[in-house]
Amino acid sequence: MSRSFPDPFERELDSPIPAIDPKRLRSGVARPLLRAQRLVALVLVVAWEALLLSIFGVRPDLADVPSSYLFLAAGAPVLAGASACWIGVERRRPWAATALVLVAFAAAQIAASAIDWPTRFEVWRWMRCPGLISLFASAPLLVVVFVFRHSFTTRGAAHTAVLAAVTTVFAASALRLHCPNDLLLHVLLSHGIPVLGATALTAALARRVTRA
Amino acid sequence: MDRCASGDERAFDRLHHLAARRLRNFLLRLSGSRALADELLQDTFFRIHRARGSFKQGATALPWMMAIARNVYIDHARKYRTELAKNELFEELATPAPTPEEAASTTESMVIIRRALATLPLSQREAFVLLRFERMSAKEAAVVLGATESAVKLRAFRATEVLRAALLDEDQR
Repeated sequence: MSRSFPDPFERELDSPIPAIDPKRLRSGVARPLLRAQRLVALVLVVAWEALLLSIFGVRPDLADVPSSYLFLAAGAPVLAGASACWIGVERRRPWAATALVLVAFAAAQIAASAIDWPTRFEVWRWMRCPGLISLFASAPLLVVVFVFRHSFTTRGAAHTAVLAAVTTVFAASALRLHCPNDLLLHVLLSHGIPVLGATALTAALARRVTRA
Repeated sequence: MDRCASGDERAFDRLHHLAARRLRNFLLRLSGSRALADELLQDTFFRIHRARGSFKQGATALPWMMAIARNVYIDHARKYRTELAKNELFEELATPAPTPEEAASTTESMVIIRRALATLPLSQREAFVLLRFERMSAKEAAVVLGATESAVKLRAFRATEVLRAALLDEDQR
């Protein structure tokens, strides 16, 4: 880049700048209100999962399940999701964060399923869990996309993917408190595929919404 | 920008006063049309105002605002499905300069660069404009474009090669 290039627009650079139309500046949300919105969104998401769990009921063998199992199956993905939010949104490494939360989810399910618990192969449950995950994740995804609208100046799809991955993994973790089927294949297929699907779909559909 | 993000409306006016020319000139270099750049500037400030709450505290404001200006330009180009730089650029070139001084300032090499810029893919054009004309560092340009520093440098280098070749062609004629 040794050769100097004259600016081809030099003639126009000093032309007058038009004033902005104040009528168009109504929809902005300032930082304090945005933070409050996001906090309310978090509460709403947790409340939604709790509501659905109370409607569908927790797994019948929950009292017999060791807490280490519950942490692996449901708690660890949620913690990974919180870390991913920080890496993806704050540190601006969205694809790394998305991968982290999805791998953490899969690893937690594999580790938890390796514990010798009775498993049942019931076809209807295999069909039911993807639907339930969609239900558990739908409202939270809408809320999350709403509070993060116009938030990312670049890489909208990647940032939306991390938000969607965290939200659906949270929903899938909540479902693990309901679904008693610990068969590894069931968890990875019936729970994992909806998580991947919802993440990809949200990233594709909502990337224009979350982009500033 | 921090004050603006916190809800101070007067800070927004000040922000407009400080950044409007820089953003308009960036849009001008991307689009090749002053009228279009002025129009897109309005939309850029509307979006800056809309997204101000998500501005990261303590971050540098200009790259953030330029990234929004770039989004505005990309959305406009998608909406109208036109290669703005190719079409409107030449309309402007065909317009006679209003004063003799301005006409004299438009040198032949400027016209060649302008034409060559218009033929570049957006990814190369924006990287070149940011590094060459906006005098940004590769790090700042990477923030604007959402790419790595090395990717920005590579794109700008490719653009430079094209422009250099265009100037060389003209010299040899």
